[in-house]
Amino acid sequence: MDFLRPTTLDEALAAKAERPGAVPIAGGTDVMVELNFDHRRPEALLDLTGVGELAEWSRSSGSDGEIRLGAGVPYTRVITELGGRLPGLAMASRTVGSPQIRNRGTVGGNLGSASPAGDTHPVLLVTGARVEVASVRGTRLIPATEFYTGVKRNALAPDELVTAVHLPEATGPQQFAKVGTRNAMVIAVCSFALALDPDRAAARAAIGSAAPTPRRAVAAERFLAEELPWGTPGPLRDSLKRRFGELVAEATEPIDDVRGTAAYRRHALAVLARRTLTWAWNDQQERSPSCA
Amino acid sequence: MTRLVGRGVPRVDGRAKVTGAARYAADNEIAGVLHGFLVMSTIARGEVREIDPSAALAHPGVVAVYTHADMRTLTVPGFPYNRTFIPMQDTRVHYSGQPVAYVVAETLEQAQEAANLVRVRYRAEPPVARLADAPDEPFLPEGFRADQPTETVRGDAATALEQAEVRLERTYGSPMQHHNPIEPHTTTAVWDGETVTLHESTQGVVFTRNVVSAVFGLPPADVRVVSQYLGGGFGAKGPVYPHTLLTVEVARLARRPVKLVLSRAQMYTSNGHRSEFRNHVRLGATRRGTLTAVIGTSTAQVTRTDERTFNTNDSAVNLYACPNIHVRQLGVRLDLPTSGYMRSPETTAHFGLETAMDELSYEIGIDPVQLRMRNLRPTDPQNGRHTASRHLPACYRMAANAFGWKWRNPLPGTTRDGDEYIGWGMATETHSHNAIRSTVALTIGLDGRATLRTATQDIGTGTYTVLTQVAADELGMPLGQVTTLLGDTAFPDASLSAGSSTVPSVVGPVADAAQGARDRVIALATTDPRSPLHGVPAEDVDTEGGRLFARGDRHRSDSYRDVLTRHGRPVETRSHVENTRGHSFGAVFVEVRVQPRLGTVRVSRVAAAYDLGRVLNHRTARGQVIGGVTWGIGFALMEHTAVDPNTARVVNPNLSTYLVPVSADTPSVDVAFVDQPDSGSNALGARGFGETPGTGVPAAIGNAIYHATGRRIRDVPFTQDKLL
Ligand SMILES: Cc1cc2nc3c(=O)[nH]c(=O)nc-3n(C[C@H](O)[C@H](O)[C@H](O)COP(=O)(O)OP(=O)(O)OC[C@H]3O[C@@H](n4cnc5c(N)ncnc54)[C@H](O)[C@@H]3O)c2cc1C
Repeated sequence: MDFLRPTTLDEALAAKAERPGAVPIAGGTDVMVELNFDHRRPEALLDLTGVGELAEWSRSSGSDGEIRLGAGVPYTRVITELGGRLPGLAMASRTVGSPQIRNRGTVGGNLGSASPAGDTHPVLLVTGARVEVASVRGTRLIPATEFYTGVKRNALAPDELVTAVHLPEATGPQQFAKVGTRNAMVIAVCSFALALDPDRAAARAAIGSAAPTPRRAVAAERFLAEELPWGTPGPLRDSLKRRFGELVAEATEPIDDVRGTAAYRRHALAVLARRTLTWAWNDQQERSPSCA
Repeated sequence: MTRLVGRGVPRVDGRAKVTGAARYAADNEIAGVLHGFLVMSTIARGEVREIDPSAALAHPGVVAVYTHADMRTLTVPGFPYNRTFIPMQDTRVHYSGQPVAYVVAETLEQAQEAANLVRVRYRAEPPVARLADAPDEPFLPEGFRADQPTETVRGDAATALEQAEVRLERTYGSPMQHHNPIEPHTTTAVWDGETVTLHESTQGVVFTRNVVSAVFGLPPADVRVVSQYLGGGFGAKGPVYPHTLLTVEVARLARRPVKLVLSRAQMYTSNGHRSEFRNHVRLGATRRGTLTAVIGTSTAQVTRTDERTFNTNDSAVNLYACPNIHVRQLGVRLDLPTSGYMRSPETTAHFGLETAMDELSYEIGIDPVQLRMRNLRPTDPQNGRHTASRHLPACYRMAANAFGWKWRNPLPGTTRDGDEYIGWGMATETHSHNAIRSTVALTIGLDGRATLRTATQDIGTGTYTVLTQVAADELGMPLGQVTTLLGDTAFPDASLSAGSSTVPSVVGPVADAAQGARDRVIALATTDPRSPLHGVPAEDVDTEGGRLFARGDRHRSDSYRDVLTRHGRPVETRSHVENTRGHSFGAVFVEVRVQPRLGTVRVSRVAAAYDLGRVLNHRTARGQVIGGVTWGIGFALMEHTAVDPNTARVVNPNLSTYLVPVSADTPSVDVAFVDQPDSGSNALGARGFGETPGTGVPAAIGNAIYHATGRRIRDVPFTQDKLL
């Protein structure tokens, strides 16, 4: 097995074009597990940790700021440096693995693996993130909603690398919740993300680990857009929350596995949906001037 | 005179461990060593039809692929070898993951790759893998150890149950579980003519030596087993397992040293497990809560080749005063590997008893602690000692106070904090401990330093530290003047590090040898005209800090070093003192927080108190409590080896799918000790303790979940789906 160590993005893209079979390795927290379990035997590893451009984030200058988060920025930095601007992504990042895993693991790696249980995916779906991918042929931006194409499959072409993720700065409350079989170091049994967009009177909801791919709960989103009493102060009706939970559960397509049953996942997602909606709505009430 | 014993002395081997200086069994670089890798059966029942090693042999670096056709007929030894056959002696397959071929190569990677290339054809028969799939087949096996019968009868339990004012009948269950020590099993076998040395990760170097000598027909003196440090054993390294024997034989066939390290996945079929277990418990009691009948019928997985059960129902027989007891331990033959001891084996049945006691307390309407206090045993009918604890009431009191039990709201399902329901539960903790004949040798060299040698081992519990403390105190030396050497059959035979037996077995001989050596040195001084202590009566000499003093006149003194230097020869003593078996006790109180809508459970507080006789080292004893409670949390909430019912294969043989608790699952534990010496134990009043803490934790957690939610779950693990 060859070990390729590019030091610039151009070198990395050239290497990937020349050897599409080379497996990129960023934090290695998925790749090394696969190698240890002999799940795959790549002809080469393409080490991206020497490519400085991938390990940076920046903010665009426009008024509705957008964060360009380099594919190789580890979770620990997302949490400490971007907690205010990207609250949903930071919440999800905090639940990943353990401190060691968060020091190594990256959003780019999460996208590369595209596991239905990856914790950042529901957040990327609800924040309207776009995945920046590049090859020697050029760069394109793929909306997160089009990125996940199957169980552990994504929209990358064989010669492409994930270079960054573009996320709008939060304009409203964001929530992420996850159920695991223990309190840390655990793959999600199911996970859920919610983002409220008060400016557009809209909401986005997405589920993880309960379908072949991470996916949005579109009917549940439409329901919120129609029913959320944006102008009215006060808590939400229980019936509204319950219906939202039901619609989220209906969006799932879960399986039974060692971590949990399909029935449990459906049930728990309805609970997570109701809870996160309650939290997000309370948050919204505190922010909105009408509440004062 | 005590200065070190009883104190929380830090580990004497701590520095070696954190700097990597400690040599574990696989940390050897033996010239010419070959690396072994096992080929495991992929069927659970049937026959090997053909083994084709050609692709493996063609792989670079591969030296040989051995199969049953190459092996001599080996003698199947008795206990502590836990199986009635040795794999690779014939073509029969008894379980999935049984060794069928053994590859040796120049590197580990080559051996592992070649093992993948060995083609094995089978004739397969359908296996049975779960107790539920063999409901009509439980039978009463013969006990394989005289001290662990499979049936115990006291009084007339059936009649007493029939006449009882209050009756309770419940069934409790637990799945297969695995030990998962972090250090994998490893054997390096080095033959030299007709003698063999094993670098082995084992909880018993003497056991291993005896088994190897029996299997290969070698005199025990021609087998040396070395195991200086272990990265955990938990029973997985107590008995001797096939991989060790196969490695010894393969090294002989290959005429080169062979090193084998089991992979994590292989550890799920190679070294025993806690078997799937069901426990049918019937209790009879008076309205006031006095037990009148205890009937416990457990069913455990055994195999078609042997019928040993390892999870005795000890507490049902020994813990509470009840005149009428009938305990039976049935087995069901399944196509799985032979089970074995796994840390605190008595927990398995105790979970049922302590949950049933909790259920009874609600049934009768008395506090669960009161119910237990009402049924304390005054003395033990068999030996009048250990099984009854005079201090168990103190344990309940101390732990209850630390926990705040008196504030308990007796109504289940009524204490809330936001979304969470809060519940409190408790259970008695108890486990037997063994005592194994042990000999130690102690030498004081010309430099005045003492060296202790004994063939017990430190499996991570702190044996090096505690034995050093004891010897240093008895000699009157600072800790640093004593070196303890363990884990080598070149030293005198000593206890297995299992069954909580190390301290009770080895501390007595260490204290005795040290006292003997001290007395010899005092005698040398007081009879030597060159010593300042010349002429002082021996009984008037004290030792402290490596020096000898005349009592009452501390200016008259000598040192070990000076006495030995003048003497010109080392002083050597040897001792064995036999102790008796017994039990240690405690009480554990647990608070849980349950999210009823998600079914998630978090253990938020634990308080526990113990009677283990005298506490030799508070720090290492506390370490056992933290470890035991953490194991209890795993047993209660997550540990579960999943076996596919169709193939009888373990489907989660790794630490990412076999979950054990992590730090976020384990609160800090409030630990207290009664710390009163047991006059019946000659280990300075200490009893065995390692397996007591944690035994009550699964029941205490289940009891707390009931208290939180009003839901009684009788099968561990208490996973989220069960709690909805
Ligand atoms: C103990 C443990 C706990 C874990 N817990 C969690 C958890 O709680 N939640 C969770 O979501 N995940 C978890 N994971 C999985 C893993 O940590 C995450 O998926 C992480 O985001 C992977 O990032 P990485 O940088 O380590 O990726 P790597 O392992 O380096 O790569 C992962 C995949 O992405 C590809 N890749 C990496 N970078 C790029 C790139 N720039 N362009 C194209 N492809 C790329 C790789 O080729 C590979 O296929 C855990 C893993 C372990 C070992």
